[in-house]
Amino acid sequence: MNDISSMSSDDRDIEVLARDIVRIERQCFYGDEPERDRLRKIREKLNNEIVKKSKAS
Amino acid sequence: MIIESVTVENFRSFYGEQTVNFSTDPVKNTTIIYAMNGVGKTNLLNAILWCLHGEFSPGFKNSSDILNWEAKKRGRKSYHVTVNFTEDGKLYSIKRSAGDVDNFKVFRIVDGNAEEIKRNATVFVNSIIPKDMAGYFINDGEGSDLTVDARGMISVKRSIRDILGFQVAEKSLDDLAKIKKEYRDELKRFDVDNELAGLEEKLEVFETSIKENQKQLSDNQEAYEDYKIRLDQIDKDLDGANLVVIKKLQSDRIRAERDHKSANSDLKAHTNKKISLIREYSWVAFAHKLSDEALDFIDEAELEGKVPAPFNVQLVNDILKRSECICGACIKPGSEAYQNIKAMLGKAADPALLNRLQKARSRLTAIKTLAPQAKERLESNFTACVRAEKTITRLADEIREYSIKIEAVDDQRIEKLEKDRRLFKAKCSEANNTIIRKGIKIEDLVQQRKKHEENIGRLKGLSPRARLSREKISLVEKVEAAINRELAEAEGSIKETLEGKINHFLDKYLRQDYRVKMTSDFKIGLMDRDDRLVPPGGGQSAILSFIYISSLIAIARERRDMKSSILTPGAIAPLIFDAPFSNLDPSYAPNVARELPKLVDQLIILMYQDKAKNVDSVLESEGKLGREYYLTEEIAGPQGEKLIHELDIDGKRVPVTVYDAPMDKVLIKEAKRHV
Repeated sequence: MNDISSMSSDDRDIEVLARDIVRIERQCFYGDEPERDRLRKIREKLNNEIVKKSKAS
Repeated sequence: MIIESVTVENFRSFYGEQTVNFSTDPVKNTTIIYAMNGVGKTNLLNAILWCLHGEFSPGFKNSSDILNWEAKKRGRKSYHVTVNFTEDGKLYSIKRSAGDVDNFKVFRIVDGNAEEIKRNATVFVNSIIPKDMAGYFINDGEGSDLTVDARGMISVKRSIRDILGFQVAEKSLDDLAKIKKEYRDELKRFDVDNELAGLEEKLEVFETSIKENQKQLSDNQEAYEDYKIRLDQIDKDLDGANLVVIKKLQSDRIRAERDHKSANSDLKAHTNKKISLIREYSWVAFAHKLSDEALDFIDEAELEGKVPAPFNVQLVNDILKRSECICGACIKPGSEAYQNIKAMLGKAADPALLNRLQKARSRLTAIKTLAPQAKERLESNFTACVRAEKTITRLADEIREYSIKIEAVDDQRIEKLEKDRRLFKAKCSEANNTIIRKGIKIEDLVQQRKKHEENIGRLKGLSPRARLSREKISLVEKVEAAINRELAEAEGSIKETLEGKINHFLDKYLRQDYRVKMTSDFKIGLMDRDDRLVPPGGGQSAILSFIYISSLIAIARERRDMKSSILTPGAIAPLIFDAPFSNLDPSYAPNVARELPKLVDQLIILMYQDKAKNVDSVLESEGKLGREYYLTEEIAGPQGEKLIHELDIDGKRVPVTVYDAPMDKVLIKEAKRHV
């Protein structure tokens, strides 16, 4: 597993985002959330990241 | 996870409600369920798998027809399975029903009372034994993807990825690709002048092309390794030929081929050296004549005493400024003496110019010194190249000559081997050329893609919506790269671990000099002590599958507490094997029976009783056998000419087929409990 603490801020954000997206997928794959919702949730996650970045810049 | 019991009700061959209580003893951890073929072993295994995850093993036939036929005739409309198990010392119960009522419930049992786990019940079960790994623990053999190919090799890439917990991450990548496609379509709509959309479209083409070429590269690498293994086999067969003349020719040819390969490497190294020497000395070669002439010119000027002059500009200017000579005489401006001294300025040496001239001279001298050195080194390199080329030609002739001599031997087997050898040599060379070509192509495509990405980054005047779409695409690409990186690292690091584990189990199971051969594309095969691939059949393939599954289980166990948000952690669960000994040679079966229970906390074996394989007696003598069950088939029809099958249970012959029964059904009966 990649060590987040040793990463640059941008890389860390991407790593966290990747893990969050896989978590969404996992919840749907293992039945915690309806599978049909997963694309919507991943899109939301990506959009939030874009908004966060645009605010920061 | 330790399974306490399973209760099946109207599930396939099992009419009514029947229960198996498995051995939960940590030492006597094995339960055997004996059954004749086609009676219900696979049904029982699938009942457990279905109860846990609502799925069946890939080889389970007619999976839409589960309700027991007799139950259906009697108006029953649903079937049920209950699995009771402990996890970390706590007792749980999973109940699944289907038919007219579909139901899935998980309970925590506290002091005999069942408390339903309502939230995240499926997730809870998956956290104990993930559904993408369950098929390896609850293994019906036939249904797994461990197919042995014609040469005795098993492709294990998918199973490795499953046990490493890749499935969810791979699904994420699929979904990210879908979302990226949506963003690209969005971009095409928003990018009014189509400039960015056009570049994005090209980028997509590059990505597709890179993927296709990578796939072709990997296919060719796989094929190359495969041909190499075949070639090695043929060479070993030729080497082991009975004819002394063949043995000698083959060993000479192998030596010549080895030297040929080494000479080729030498030539490659010399050629690379040549390139670096040319880079280092090309300027010397070009400047050599010019530097000679320039040095002659400078030296000629020096000899004439013009450069440098015996006085410099500063001295003449000082005399003129002070209107006084260095001897103290007065020099009036405008006088003849003044004019004479002023005229000296034209010949006076300039220190700055002198300095530059000296530097130029030093560089020119360096060229003059380097020239012979360059000549010597280049000549020596050219000689080495020519020598290597000659060696290569000589060895190629030698190899050809040996091959002709081998072919000339009147022996059909040798003829066939030689023919195959030529074929696989050609295939190897073809695959290798493709690998090189594809490598260059991919590098080129990656560069082109990079250029396009830079062009995209430089685009000005985009609409805000088009820019946003581009940012989203870029973000998705970064996330994809992060996930792919982690998957590649995990897969890269597992090869050595897996090889180690398989070899460890080979030592224990076979006690022979077998070693595992693993290709870069995760194909495994057994190599004998002469380094020959063991052909399929003879039980070795069965044992390799066995050992491989054992290794997977061991890896899953080690990865249970793994901290990763990208990969799914492993699991500790019972190993439930359907007919594991059926294809196993009787000489291997006792060793497997001895070692298998040591691998897992709980072992459940569904098997046909074959006394010749000594499975139960070994398990018992090793103190590993906890409980024994058997399945009896009751048939609502006359015996006629048919035999009554019997099992040997505790020294007694027990019939397991009963005719003229009131209905068709299979009964689960306990044979013995080893307290």
